[in-house]
Amino acid sequence: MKLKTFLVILFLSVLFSCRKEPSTEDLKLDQVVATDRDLTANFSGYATYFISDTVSIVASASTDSILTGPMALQLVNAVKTNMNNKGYTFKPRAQGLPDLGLRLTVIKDITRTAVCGGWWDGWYGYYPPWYWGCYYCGGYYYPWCTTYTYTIGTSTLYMFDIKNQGTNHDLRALWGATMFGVFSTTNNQTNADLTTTAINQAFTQSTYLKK
Amino acid sequence: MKKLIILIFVCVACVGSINAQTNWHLDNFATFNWQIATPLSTNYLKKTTVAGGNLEYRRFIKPTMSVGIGFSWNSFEQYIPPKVYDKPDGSRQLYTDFVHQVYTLPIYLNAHYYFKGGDKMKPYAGIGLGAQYSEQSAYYNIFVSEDDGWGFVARPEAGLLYRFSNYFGLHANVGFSYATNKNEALKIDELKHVYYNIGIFWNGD
Repeated sequence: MKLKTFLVILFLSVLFSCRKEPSTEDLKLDQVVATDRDLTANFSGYATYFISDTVSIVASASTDSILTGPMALQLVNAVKTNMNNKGYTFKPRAQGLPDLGLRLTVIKDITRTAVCGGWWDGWYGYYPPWYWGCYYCGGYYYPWCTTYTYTIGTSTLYMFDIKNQGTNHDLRALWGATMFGVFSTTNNQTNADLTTTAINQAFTQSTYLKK
Repeated sequence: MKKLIILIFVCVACVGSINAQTNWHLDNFATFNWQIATPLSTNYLKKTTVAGGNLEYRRFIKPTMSVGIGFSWNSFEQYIPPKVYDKPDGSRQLYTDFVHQVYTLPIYLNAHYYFKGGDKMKPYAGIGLGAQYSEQSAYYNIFVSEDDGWGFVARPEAGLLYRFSNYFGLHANVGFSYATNKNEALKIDELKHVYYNIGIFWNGD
């Protein structure tokens, strides 16, 4: 074999063996949890909160807007447990406006990259601002700005300041958790458990959240 | 690690001076190697990789000196367990696990000096200078943040040729690679690694 032939063979073998792609299957076992906060918020200045027993769904079908039943309760109860552990008290709607309003949303069958929180504001199943009791409401306001890719299986949890609604009834977001990433299984209970774990992690890493 | 490299260089020089007898003549040769590499540069990656290779061609301009061209490739990879990453101002936290990956492809010109190693063996020391292409990737869940770019690379090395015939033999060396590739987002200021080559050479005559 001549040297030039040798070189050609080696060069071709090199071309087809260069880059090694990593296995990322294990990375899908846990969701990524991102939390954002309003740095001006004083979280110890609030005492009560409210969260609905239903979970908002952002979906391509307008009729598919709300998640109810045991799985919704599992997620909502995870939020309540964490809020209670942080020193806040749940206040039912019948007892008037709470200091804080929490909203849990699940992205069902839409993938979208968005800059700043709340691209789904005004989406079908999303709590409209009047949900929080204001008479002539404005919109939602997010003091932070991040770029997130919302995929199927992403859930978000936002905390709004009901106590200090502006004169135009804008509701300022004080804290937000985005739990994203695809689910590795189609088993609904497994996915609900993954989301519950992610909700717990969101509160764990937000050490500034306390009464 | 630097001490190890210096020691290897000294050993190669000593081996070269032991046996002055040689009638082994080389005009040019190619060498193809499996390359193992251990990163030194950043906290981004620390795990040794066995996914790498090296290909070089050298032509002798004197009986004891060659110049040539070569390139290598390495695919570094490391799993980073889940943890919370804080934004310095405290406004954001991110919890995730990662697979960090760095791919390097240095392309360089080289020069080597060969010591008197005897009839079968030829120790050498040399350096390669050139450019290094690199990709840096951080995989998390189904997402990836990645960047690529070029930097200057310098690769001092020392090694041995051991011949089975006039045309074929074993090649091994160890070297240090320093490159100026940067990635601001992943806090990479440079890419450094120690590499170990083992392979074959083919004397072209």
